[in-house]
Amino acid sequence: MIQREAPFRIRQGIAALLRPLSAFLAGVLRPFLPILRPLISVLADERVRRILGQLIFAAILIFFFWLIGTTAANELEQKGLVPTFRFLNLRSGFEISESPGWYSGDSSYGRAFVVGMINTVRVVVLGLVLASVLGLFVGVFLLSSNWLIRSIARGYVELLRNTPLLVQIFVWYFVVMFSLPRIQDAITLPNEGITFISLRIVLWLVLWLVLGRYWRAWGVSVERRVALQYGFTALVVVSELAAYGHHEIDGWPWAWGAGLSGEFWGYLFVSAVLLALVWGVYNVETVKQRMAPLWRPRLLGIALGQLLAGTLFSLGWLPMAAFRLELQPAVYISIRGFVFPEILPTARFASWFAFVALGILLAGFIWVWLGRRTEDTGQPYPRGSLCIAAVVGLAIIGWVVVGMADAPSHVVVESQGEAEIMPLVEAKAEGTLGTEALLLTSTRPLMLQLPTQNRFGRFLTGVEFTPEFMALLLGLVIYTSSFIAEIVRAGIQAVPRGQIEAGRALGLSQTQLLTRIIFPQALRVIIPPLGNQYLNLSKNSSLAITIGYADTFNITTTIMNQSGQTVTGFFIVMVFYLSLSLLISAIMNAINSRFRLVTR
Amino acid sequence: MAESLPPMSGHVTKPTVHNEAYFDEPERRRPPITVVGPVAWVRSNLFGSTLDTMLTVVGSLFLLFTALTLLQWSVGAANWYAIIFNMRLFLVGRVETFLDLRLSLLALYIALVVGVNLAAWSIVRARVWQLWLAGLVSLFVIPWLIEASIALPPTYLGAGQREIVSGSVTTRPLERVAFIGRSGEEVVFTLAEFASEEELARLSSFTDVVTNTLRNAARNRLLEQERRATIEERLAGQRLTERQRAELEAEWAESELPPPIRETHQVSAAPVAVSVRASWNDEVLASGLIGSGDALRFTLPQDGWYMLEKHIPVQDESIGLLAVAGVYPIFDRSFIRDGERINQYVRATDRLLIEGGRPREADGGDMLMLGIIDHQYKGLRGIDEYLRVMVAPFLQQINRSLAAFSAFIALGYFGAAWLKQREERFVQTVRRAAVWLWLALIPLAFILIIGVGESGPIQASDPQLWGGLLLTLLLTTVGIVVAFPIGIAMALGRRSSLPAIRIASTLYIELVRGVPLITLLFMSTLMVPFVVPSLSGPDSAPYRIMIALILFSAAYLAEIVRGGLQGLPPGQEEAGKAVGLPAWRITLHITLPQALRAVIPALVGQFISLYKDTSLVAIAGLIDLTGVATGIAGQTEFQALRRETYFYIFIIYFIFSFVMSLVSRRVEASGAGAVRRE
Repeated sequence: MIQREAPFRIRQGIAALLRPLSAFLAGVLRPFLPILRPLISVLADERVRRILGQLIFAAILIFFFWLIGTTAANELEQKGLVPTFRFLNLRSGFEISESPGWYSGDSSYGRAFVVGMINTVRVVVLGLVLASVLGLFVGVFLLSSNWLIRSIARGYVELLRNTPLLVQIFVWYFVVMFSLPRIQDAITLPNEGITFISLRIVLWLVLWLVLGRYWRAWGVSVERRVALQYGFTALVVVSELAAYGHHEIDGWPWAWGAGLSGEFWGYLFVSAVLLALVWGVYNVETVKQRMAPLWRPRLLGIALGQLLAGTLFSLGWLPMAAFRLELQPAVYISIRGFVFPEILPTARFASWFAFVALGILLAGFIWVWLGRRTEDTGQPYPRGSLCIAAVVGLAIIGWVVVGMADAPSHVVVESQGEAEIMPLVEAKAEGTLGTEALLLTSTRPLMLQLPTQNRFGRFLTGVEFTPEFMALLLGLVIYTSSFIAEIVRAGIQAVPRGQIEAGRALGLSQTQLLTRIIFPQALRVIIPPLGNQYLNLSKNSSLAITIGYADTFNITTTIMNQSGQTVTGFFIVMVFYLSLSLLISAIMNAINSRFRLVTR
Repeated sequence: MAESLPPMSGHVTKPTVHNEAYFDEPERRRPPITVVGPVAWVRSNLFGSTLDTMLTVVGSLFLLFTALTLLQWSVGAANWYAIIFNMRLFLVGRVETFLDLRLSLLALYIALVVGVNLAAWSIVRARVWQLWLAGLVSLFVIPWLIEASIALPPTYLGAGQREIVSGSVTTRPLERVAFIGRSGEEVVFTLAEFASEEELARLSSFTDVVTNTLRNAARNRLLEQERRATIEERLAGQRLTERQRAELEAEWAESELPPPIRETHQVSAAPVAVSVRASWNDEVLASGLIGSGDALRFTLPQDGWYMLEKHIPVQDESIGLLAVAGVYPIFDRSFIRDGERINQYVRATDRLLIEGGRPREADGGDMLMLGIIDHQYKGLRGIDEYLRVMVAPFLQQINRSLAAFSAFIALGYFGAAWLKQREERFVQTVRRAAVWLWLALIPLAFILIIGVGESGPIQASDPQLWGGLLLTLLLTTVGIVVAFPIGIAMALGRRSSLPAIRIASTLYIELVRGVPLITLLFMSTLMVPFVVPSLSGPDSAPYRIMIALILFSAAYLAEIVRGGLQGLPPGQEEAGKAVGLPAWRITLHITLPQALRAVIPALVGQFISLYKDTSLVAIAGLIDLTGVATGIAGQTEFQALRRETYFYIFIIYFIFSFVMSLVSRRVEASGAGAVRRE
C-alpha cells in the first residue's frame, strides 16, 4: 500500500508546482476571454478536434519533408547532382562479371540496372526453393524419434540462427570458396574414369525387391519373413566374401565353378553338421523356453542362405563379371566456381512438348472427372497417380515417336572458312560440330550437355556459377533453412495429437497420415511465418555487395559512385526491393488463402 | 487386487498370510533390461528401427568426422596468435587508452547489474556457484600447470650467407636479431640436425623465415614424391579413360622430383658462430662456435633486450639451423599515452612485457627483432605443444578480466540476495532496483563512453575510434532503446482512428520493412550529410549509422508492439471506457502495459536480430566486430589466418546471442510475458 502511494504523491507535488503557473496564465488570458470563447466552443466539438489534429499533423509532416527536401536539393544543386532519370541512357562503362550476352561496358546504365535485377531474382528464386527443401528436412529431423539426429538438427539450427548472416557469407566465401582447388585440379562429380559395377549387385537388388514385394503383399507369417530376411542377408554376405576371395586373395582355396568337387561336399558336410547341431540344441526343451521364439527361423534362414550361396558359387552360377561404365564428370568444383551440365531443348523439342501438353491436358481432365465421380459415388480413386501416369506416359510415347524420324545424313561443316558437306557420323566422330549443329541434328527432344573445357581450362559448355554466386546462395540457403526448420517443427507440433491418433484409429498408413492429416493442418500454421522468411531471404540477398556478386544493390552503388545520382539510385533500389517484397507477399497470401479455404 | 500389492523395492517379500489367494499371481520379475534403463533408452532412441539404425550410424559418422576435422585443425594447424595479438581490437577497437579504465568500470557495473538481476528474478543454486568458482580457479591453475609440466619447443633460427629459393620465395638468414628475455632465464643454443628429409619436413615450432622455407621445400618434395607415386599407381590400374591416360602420362613426363633439400642446402653441415650481447651496455654475455653436438648455455642477467649475432665463419654454401631454447617471438604494439608514442613489446609465450628500449643498428634504424609475424608457429603440432603455445597464453590473457567480472556478478548477486532475505518487502525493492539499475546504465554508458570536455577523467573520446564488440553492443543498445518510444508511437499511430496518422505510420513501417537494412545504412551515410550538414564529417560516422539503425528497428518494434496490442482482449479497453477514463489514460495505464508484457519474448528476439544485423555496419565503413575481423583478414601478415579470425567472431556472436535467447526462453517459460486474463 505504501508503494502505491508514491507516484500519487509525486503527482500531487507536480500539481502543486504547476498551480502558480496556471494561475498566472489564467490572469493573462482573462482579458481575451470574449475572443477566445467561440474558439473554445468550436474546439469542444470532437469532430472538429479530430480534423484539426490531423491537419496539424499533416502540416508538420509536410513542412518537415519540405525542409529536408529543400536543404538536400540545395546541397545537390551546389554539387551539380540534381536528381534526374536522364542518366539511365548514358554509357555505363563498366563490365559485369555475371551478365547475359547483351550487356557490355558500352551498354547503358539502364541495362546495368536490369542485369542487377536479373541477378538478384536468380539468386532469390533458387535460394527460396533450396532453403524450403533443406528447411523442411531439418525441421522433420528436429522431430525425429532418433535422439542423435534430433540433437544434430538442434545444433545446426542454434548455431546458424544465432550468428550473423554476413559472417556466414564471409566464411562461405573467404574460407570455403578460397580453399577450393585450382581449375586444373577441380573436384569432379562423378570422378572421371572407368567404374565396374558388379552384376551381383543387380542380382541382389532384383532379389531384394522381389522378396520385399512378396512378404509385404501376401501376409507372410512373421517366422517366414524373418527366415527370408536372415537367409537373404546370409546369401549376400557369404557370396560377396567368396567372390572377394576369388578375385583378390591369392591361393584362395575355394574355386569358383569347380562343380560338385571335393571342397563343395566338404563345405556341405560341415554346414549340415553345424545346422544339425544348432537344430538339436535348439530343440532341447529348456533352451527352447529360454530363447526368443524367433531364433529358430533366424538360424534356419542363415543356414539355408549360406548353403545356397556356397552351392551357387561352387557350380559357377554366381555372376563374377561386371559392367564397364565410363564416367564423365558432370559437375566441376574449383576456385573459379561451380559448373553444372546443361539440358538444352533441341530442334525436336516443340513436337515432343506437344505430347507433354496433351498429357497435362489429359491429367487435368482425369483430375476433374474422377473428382466428380468420387463426389457422386463416394468411391475413392487414385487420381494423383493416374494423373502422373498420364503425363509421364505421354512424355515417354512422345519421346519414342519424335525420335523415330532419322537424323539428317549429312551436315554442313565450316572448316577454315569454307562450308563443306560431310556425313553426320564422320562429323560427330571428328568433334567438329558446335552446340547449335548438335541441337539441330539430334534425334532426341532434349540434350544433356556435359561441361567441356578448352585447353586453357575455360568452359565451352555447361552452366557456370561464379564462387561469389555460390557463396551467397549457400549462405542465404543455409541461414534461412535454420529458421524455416524451426517454423516447420512448430507447425507440425501444432497439429493436435488427437488428429494423428484419430488417423491411426481409422487405419491410415504413415504416408496417408502425413499427406492427409498432418501436412494440411501444419501448413496452415507454417505458411504465414514462412512468407516472412522468404521476404527476409530476398532482402538479405543484398549482402551480395560484400563479396562482389553483381546484384541490384551492388550495381546500383557502382552506378551511384560513377554518375553521382544518389537520390535516383536509392529510389530505383527501394522501388525494386519493395516490389519484390510485395510480389512475394502477394504469392504467399494467395497460397495462404487457398489453404485456409481447404480446411474451412 | 492390484492395489493391495506391496511396493516393489529391494527384496520382494510375498505375503505369507493369505498365500492361497495369490496362487495364480505370476512370478514377479524385474522389468527386462530392454524396457528400462540406459540400454532401453539407447534401443528406443538410437536403434528403434532399421531406418533409425541407419540414421544413427550416418549421424555419428558425420559428427565424428566433423569433430575430428575441427579438432585436428584447431589443435594442429590453426594459428591462434591472430586472436591473442588482436584481442584489444576485437573487444574495443582502436579507442584511446584513457578509455580503458572507464570501459572496465562500465563492464564491472554491468556485471554488478547482472548479479542483482539474477538475485531479483531467480535463485542460483550453490552448486552452480561452486562450479563457476571451480571453472575460474582452473582458468588460473591450468595455464600454471601447463607451463610447469610442458616444455616450450625451441625456436629455430637459420644462419649462413646463402640465399634460399623455394618457389617464389627468396630469403637470406638474418645476421643480427634482437629478442627480449627475463632475468635468471637460461638460454640454450644447439645446432639442429635432421636425420632425414622427412624429419625436416615434419618440423613444428617457432621458426624464422629461412627455416620455414627449408621446411616447406622439404615438404613439397615429399608431396611431389607422393603425387608421382599416385600417378604411377593410377597408370598401372584399369580405371582410366583414354583421355585421362594421355593426360596423366603427359603429367608424369613433365613432373620432376626436386633434389633432396637437406643435402643440396647442406643443412647444419658447418659450425655456426653465435654471440649474444646485452643491449644496455653492449657487453658480450656469451659467444662460441656451435658445431654438431655442442651446446651454448648461459643465464640472462636482467629483464630487457638482447642482441643475437650469428654467422657461419667458414666461407661455404651451408645453412646452419640453430635450435634456441629460451628465446621466443614478440608482439609489438604502439599507442599514444599522454601525447607520447609508447612502444610495448610482449613475449608471445609468457606475456613478458618490455616497454621501449629496442636496440638500434649502427645506421640508427630499429634492429630487426624476433617478431611474431615472421616467427610464427609453423607445422603440425601435437596436443601438448598446442596447450603450451596457444591455450596457456590465451587463458592468461582472459583469466583476470573474467575473474573480476565474475566477482562483481557475485557481489551483486549476494548483496541483493542478502537484502531479499532480510525482509519480505525488500523483494519488491530489489526487483525495482534491478530494473532501475539497467536504466541507470544508459546515462552511465553515455558519460563513460562518449565523455565530455577536452581533458579530465571523463574527457571526450573520438567516436571514429570506437570499434569491436564495444561498438556492436553500443549500436544494438542504442538501436533498441532509442527506437523503442518511436516504435510505440508508430504502433499506436497505425491503430489510430485518424486516417492521416494511420496512413503515415503504415507507410513508414511498410517502407522500412520492405527494403534491406543495408540500403538504409548506405542511404544514411550518403544522404544524411545533405540534410544535416553538421553530421557530414568522418568522426560522426557512428552517429549516422545509429540514425539508420534507429529508424530501421523502430519500424520492426512498431509491428511487434502492434501485435501485442492486437492480442489484448477487447474487454480491457471497453472496461476502461466504461470507467470513464480518457483515451490516453486507457492506452497508458491499461492496454500498453499489458501489450508490452505480452511481447517481451518478441522484443528480446528483435534485440538478438538487431545484434546480428549490426554486423552490416562493417559494410558501411564502421569497425564493429565484423569490421575488425575483415580488417585483420585484409592485413598481409594475417591474411593466412582468415579462418581463425572468422571462427573467433563466429563464436563470440554465437555466445552472446545464444545466451540472450536462453534468457528469453526462460522469461517466456516463467510466464512473465503472459497476459493476465483473470
